Amino acid sequence: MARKHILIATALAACVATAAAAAPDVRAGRLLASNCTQCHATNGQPRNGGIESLAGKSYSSLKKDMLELAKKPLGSDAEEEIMIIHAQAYTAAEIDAIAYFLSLP
Amino acid sequence: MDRRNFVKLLTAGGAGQIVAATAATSAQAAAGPINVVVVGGGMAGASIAKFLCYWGKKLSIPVQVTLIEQNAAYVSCIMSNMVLTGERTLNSLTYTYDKLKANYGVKVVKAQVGRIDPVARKVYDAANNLLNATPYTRLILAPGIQFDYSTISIVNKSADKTTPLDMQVPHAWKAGPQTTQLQNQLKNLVNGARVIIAIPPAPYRCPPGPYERACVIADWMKAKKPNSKVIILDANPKIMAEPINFGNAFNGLHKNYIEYHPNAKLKSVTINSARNKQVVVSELIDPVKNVWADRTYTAEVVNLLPPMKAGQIALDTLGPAGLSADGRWALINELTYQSKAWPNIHVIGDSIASKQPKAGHIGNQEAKVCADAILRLETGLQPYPTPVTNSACFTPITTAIGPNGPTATWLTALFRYDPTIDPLTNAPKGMVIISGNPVGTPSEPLTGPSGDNYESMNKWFAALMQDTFS
Repeated sequence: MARKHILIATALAACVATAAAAAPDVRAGRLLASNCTQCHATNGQPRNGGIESLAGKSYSSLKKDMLELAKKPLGSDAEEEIMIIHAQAYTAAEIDAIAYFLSLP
Repeated sequence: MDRRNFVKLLTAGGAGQIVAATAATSAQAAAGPINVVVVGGGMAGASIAKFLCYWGKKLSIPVQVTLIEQNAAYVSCIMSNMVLTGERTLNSLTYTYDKLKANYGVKVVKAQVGRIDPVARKVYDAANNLLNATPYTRLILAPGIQFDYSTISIVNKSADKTTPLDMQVPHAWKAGPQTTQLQNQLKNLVNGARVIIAIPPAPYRCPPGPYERACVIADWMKAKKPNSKVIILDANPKIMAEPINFGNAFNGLHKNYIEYHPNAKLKSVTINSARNKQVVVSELIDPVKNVWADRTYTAEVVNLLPPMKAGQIALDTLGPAGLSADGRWALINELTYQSKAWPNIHVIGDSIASKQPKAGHIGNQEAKVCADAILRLETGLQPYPTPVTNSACFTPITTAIGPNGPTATWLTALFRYDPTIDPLTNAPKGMVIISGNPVGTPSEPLTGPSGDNYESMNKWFAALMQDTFS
């Protein structure tokens, strides 16, 4: 019992620490992520068979995808070329803010 | 200070000092929501009406947006080249303002703005009727472009004295009756007759558009008018967008159907008859010695894209202090899109002087940056310091009608605000391209046109219009 409490307390502390360290700027994220929605639609929910939906994706997967795209050399992946050019425009902190905002319900 | 807290403070009785400190905004806060009037319901105007309301609600900042537009619905210029080939209808490119009203509470007024009083903050229609009962807090001008025929002589020697000259040599650069007119002229084209596309000096609306138009008409000709040809007379020294893919198409896939002439500046058009028109250009015939000479081209159809400038209401309202030195475009601060002459007037879309292209996709993003800046400024915050915008466009190279099946290519460019001072202009560098290959110019696919890109084009267009009008 006591051990369980310690575990929970540790987990909570870790969460708080992560939140305090990262704390992505939601307002900046909203503005920057609005660059995604001309192709991925408002709120990342395209109708009419639009380009890949971003709705419902997690913060970590969006961030990982964008950071991986940003690292790819131009010309290395024809299918992703347009996204590589977009991802490379942002700083890591901006990608963090974009991914966090897009993951919000 | 946050607008909500500000309002709370006002109601809490601490108003006196605060009103004294922020006299400019106190009246508005006490009077109610931020009162924004948007003039023009194109891509930029519709986007800002939507996002001011949408984001205002998210942030609990009360905003009332009145969108004034002369037409009952917007007809998209994007994809309208495919109306010329019969692949799309204008109806399929028409968007009403119903969803902006229903989903976001935008008030839509159908009127043509004739005059704006920027001191009294009042907007009038052409008959001088007041269109905004309450003076606006902020005005958004999004009037797009107008056509400037002043440098072009059009002589009509044909029997047709009733059809307006701009319909005899249509631009089809604002989608609508002009598009239908050019479509009909192409349908009636004698097989073997020529089609001229005259491109004006940059900047003009939609940099890749004229080259895309040449490609889809050429591809359509292969099936429908196999002995005909497109002659491009370009006032600019080179292809202004997607030079690799359009260059390849002109020299390869469409080489028997497109003749490209750079450095060909339109001087005059003589309409001899419905089927015979002569176009005179001043053309660079010796680039080494810089020798220019007049040359005459004959065609049945002349698609004349005149030089462009900001919509007249922007020119009239902003005055010389608010316009570029040539008097054609609105000078703005790209952090907030505030006019250099009138801080409570913002200008977005095709009518601004900017390194950003004049096109619907990036007009949508300029609107979002402007909306965010207004919501910050009205609540006592600084504008976001390094906004990013993006330009993207998919462009068909072949059609569903021609022998190769439909393909498309694309261009994209990401811009970021650079506050460092440019020694040439002694002003911030502003929006500059920050990624791509090479950095500094828009990028295009090195793998060339493809069917996959054509499918992506349709998805992109659907999402863009969803993001703008619903």
